[in-house]
This record gives sequence, C-alpha cells and structure tokens, in this order.
Amino acid sequence: MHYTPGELMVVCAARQIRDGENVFVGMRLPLIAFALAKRTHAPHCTGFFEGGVVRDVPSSELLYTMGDAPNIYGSLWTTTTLNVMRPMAAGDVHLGFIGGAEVDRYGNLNTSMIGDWQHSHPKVRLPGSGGAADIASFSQRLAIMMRHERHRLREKVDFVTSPGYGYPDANHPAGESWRERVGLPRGGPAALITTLAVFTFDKQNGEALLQSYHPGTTIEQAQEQTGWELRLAEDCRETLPPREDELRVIREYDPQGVWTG
Amino acid sequence: MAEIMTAREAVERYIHTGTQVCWGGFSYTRRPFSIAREVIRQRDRIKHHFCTMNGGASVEEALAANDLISRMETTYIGLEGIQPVANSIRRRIQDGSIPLFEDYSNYGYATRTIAGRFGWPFAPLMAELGSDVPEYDVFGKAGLRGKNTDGSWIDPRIPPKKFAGSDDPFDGWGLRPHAFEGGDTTANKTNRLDRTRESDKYTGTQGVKVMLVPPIMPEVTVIRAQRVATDGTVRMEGINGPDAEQAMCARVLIVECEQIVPSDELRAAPELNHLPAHITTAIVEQPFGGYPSAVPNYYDYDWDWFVSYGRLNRKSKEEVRDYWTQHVVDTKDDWDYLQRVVGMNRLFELRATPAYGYRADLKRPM
Repeated sequence: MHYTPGELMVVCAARQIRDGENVFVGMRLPLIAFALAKRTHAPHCTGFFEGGVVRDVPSSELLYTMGDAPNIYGSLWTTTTLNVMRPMAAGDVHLGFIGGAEVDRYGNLNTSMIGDWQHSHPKVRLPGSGGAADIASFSQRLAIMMRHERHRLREKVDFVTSPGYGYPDANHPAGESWRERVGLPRGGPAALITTLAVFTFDKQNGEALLQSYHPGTTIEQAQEQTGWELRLAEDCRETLPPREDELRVIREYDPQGVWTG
Repeated sequence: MAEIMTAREAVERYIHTGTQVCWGGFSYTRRPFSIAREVIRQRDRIKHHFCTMNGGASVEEALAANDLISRMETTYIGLEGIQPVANSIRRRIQDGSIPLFEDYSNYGYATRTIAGRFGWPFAPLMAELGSDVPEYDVFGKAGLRGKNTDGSWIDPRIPPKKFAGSDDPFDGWGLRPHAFEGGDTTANKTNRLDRTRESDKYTGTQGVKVMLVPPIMPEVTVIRAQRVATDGTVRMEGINGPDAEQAMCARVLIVECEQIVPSDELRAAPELNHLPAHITTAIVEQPFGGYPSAVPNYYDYDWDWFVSYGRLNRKSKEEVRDYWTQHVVDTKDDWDYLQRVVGMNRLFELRATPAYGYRADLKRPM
C-alpha cells in the first residue's frame, strides 16, 4: 500500500505514545500522531497544547496553527499557556514532541540561529524556542521529528536551544549524566524520527543510534544524509510500514495531506 | 478607572516612541490587530517601539514590516504553517534594523509573568538549564543592563540580568516525587534528583539548580477580548494563552473587544471573568477588529489572507511597506479598513458557526 514519508513519520510518532500517557502535542505531524494513537492503541492518552488546551479526543477538524479555534470545541479545558506548561514542569508529561531546524548526534536541538553567535551577529535567524526548550527540559521522554538532510543532522549544532544529552567534556561523557550536571532532573530524547529513519539514544553517552531505516532507504543512504558517523542499534532493522487501518485514520484526519503530503 | 475610547485615542495617549508594549493573544487567535493597525496608522509619530510577546508573530510581523520595532523580547517569531520565520522580522534581525532581540522559552516567559503578576521580584523555573538561551544576552552586550553610576537603571525597561542560575535553597524539597508517607502517586516517576543534587553548574556549589527570571513589567499590555463590561471587567472565550497573566503585569492595560456590554452581564457569573475592572485602563470596541486572526465564537481567521501575505512579505522591504501604506495607513480607522479594504462579504464568510465557535466550512488551502 502506498504511503508518504509524512504518513510513515506519523505512524512512528504514534508508536512512541503509550496508552494512558500525558502527551505534549506539537503542531503538524505530532498532532496527527496524537489522533492516530488515540484511535488505535492509546485510547486513554491526554493531549496538552501550548496555547492552553487540554483534550482527550482529537479535534473534529485538522489544525493549522497552535491556537486554532477548532481545537477548542469538545476539549476538556481551555485555559492559559501556564496551565498547560504546568504539568510538564511538574514532571507529569510522559512524552513531548518537537521539531527543529537542526539536531546533533547527542539530540541537542537548534531553533534559534545559525552562525557564530558568540563572536558575531548570527547569520540566519530561526523562530526561537517557543515551547521547545521547555518540552526538551521537562518531558519524561522526548520525541524529535524532522526532515533528514545532511545540513540538519549535524555533528554539533550552532546553538543549543533545546538541550538533549549535551556534550562530552574532558572528564565527562554526554548523556543522562550531562543533564544531571546542568541541573535537569529528568528526561532526554527517546527518539529522533526523520523522513529516512528512526534513531534511539544511548543514555550512557548520549549518542543517537540508528534504530530503523524506512522501507526504500538503506543504511548507506541514511549515512549520506547524516553529519555524523552512524552507530547502529543492536537490533537495527527496517522500519515497520504503516498498517492499512493506521493509514485510514491518518487520511480521515488529514484528508488533503496538508501535513502528511 | 477604565475609560472607553477609540483606538486612535488609546494609541495617541499610551504608545509613543520606544514604549514597551506587550501584545496579547496566541498565534492566530484573539490577537489585538485593531490597536496594531492603529499603531501602523500612527507610524510616523511612533517611529518604533519595544515589542514584547509570548506566542506567535502575526501582529509582530505587521509591526516589523512597518519598521515599528526597534527592540523585541519574545519567545517565537514563526508564522507556523504560513512561514517558518516571519520574514519582515527575520530580515530586520539579520540586517541589523531590529538591533536588539532577546528571547526566552515559552515557559521562561510565562514564569516571568508569574513574577510580574504577583509582584514578586523574580520567579524560579527548571527549564533553560543547559540551554544556550540564557547565554545569548543581547541587551547585556548592548550595555543596557544594570545601573548607572548614580544608582538609576540604565534602562528601566530592561532587567539587570536575563537569567540568574541559583541553588534551590530548599534542596529540591518541593519537587515530585516527594517522600510522602506511603509514597507519591504523581505521574512523575523519572526524576533523578539525587543525581542533580551534585550539579555545580551556574553557582559553583553542589545542589539542586534553578533558573531565576525577572518579572515582565511592560509599560502597556494590549489584549483582545470578546466582551468587556463598561466598567472594564474582561471576559475572554476559548484559549487564554498568556493574556490573563501578562495583562496583570502591565502599568497600562488596553483591551480591545468585540463588544462592550453592560456591567450586569458579566456580574451575573463573575467566576467566569478573567480580569477585574480595576486593572483595565482603556476599553476600545471594534467588532471584527481581531481580523485577520480568529476570535473564538465570533469569527475564524482569514487563512487566505495569511497565505497571500506570506508570499507578499518576501518581496522587497519597500514593496511590503507600500502594501501596508495602501491597505492600512491610508484608511481612516478600522471601520474604514474593514468595510473598504476587507469588505463585509469576506467578514461574513468568516463568522463562526454558532454550534462550534469556529467557521466549520472554512477552506484553508496552503
């Protein structure tokens, strides 16, 4: 059955959601992943949307922006941004989603600026953190979604907007222990879902591991589009393709392929 | 005492060159476009201002396109599906014509509004730890932070530090899971607090770390609400975003609304009100004034307008500015703009479907 890279990414993202979890839902693909998980394996999860919405049923219309009015109808609670960030800060959000302009091998994300900002004016200005740094800091698990291109998957990002597993220094590795060293009490990237592959992370040293490559892609092709030398997970294999019922739900929610096309 | 006035009066009275204005609403929802358009009409007088906001950049894009922003303190300058980065803002940051741009995360900014709202000198949070956001201090580099030799603030709008990393004096006692007798039922099972107690980042001493942020204290906050009572009581519908907090941080609060209603209407269920009358300074009634953003239960956003504007704003700065001149500066007021430039047909097409609060059959082609 034919499907788009976006549809496969949605399926991979939905697989990160476990039933009963509190999910901080980002726009575009994570939004559809939440709807898919709700209607398949995770009917009891709850979604938090940063404009100030808590809902446990997918919106009746596809959302185009974070504040979209269709997200209000049928929600559990419309409230302040603070009230939806609150459970995340308190550690009650199991899974958060973000995208980024660039990510590095330790799962650090940049959505702020490209270029040498420490010594000069940054060359390219990006949109900024929004909620990204908060989601990366506070969620128990973080799932990152982005296009797999060599200039986006870099050895080191220019600016760490949203911390992943930091960097090694002379005496310490990156990884969970880096997060502890800077004072972050939990969390860290669990998955990096791209247009070509899915990575998981080695929490001991913070490195991304190629967990699976999408059907039609090879490890070599993934390597070509990745700015660091790939390390493979022990059980690295081809990504499971979407099931028919999964595609049906996705296409019901985004019939024109606005975000998945 | 709240005073009812026109957008023109409100802007003339409260927004001047360099004024720090905090713009309300979130993303494409309930954005105060009526006051923003009036600022654009008065752009020759105002010249530029200090723009603050948390959540989306549609209003700010319009202000930047009119060269009205000299400083920004914000969290996000994307236009979501329309444009990854609002182009009028981006090109001005990159070419130096918005020389001062400081950013925070959503929660960092929101925590600043907690301090501002409650009159606290600062507030703590555990985000931004390990991020470069605290290290990138544009106002500091420009010499705007701190005090003059006579003890006065170099700029009273700008706090002496962007962030301050600190030890938690309560040693993480307030963090969950907590050692309650019988255990803790929180969903948060994954904290590694004992390990973070060994962190010596930011302070040089071992302990649980927090980031402290200063309050937001804008000179003016502008928000849009569906209904405001004649006395200034504010009722918002749908998502609230950052508005309830940042309204209470301001010295002057301008509320533009769909309708001014009798005080009794909002007193009938006072628990549903968001802001009490005594903090509102100016009330501006302008039906459809949130256009082209959405005002839940009243009208949806004009997606087509945003899509076509997202193409237009890639043209030269002069062409974009000309667009605003022709479409807004040359209008008398927002009624003139809405009737003559937008047209009643379009506004009627955007009216919310009563059962849903949004326009159920709105076409939103990309």
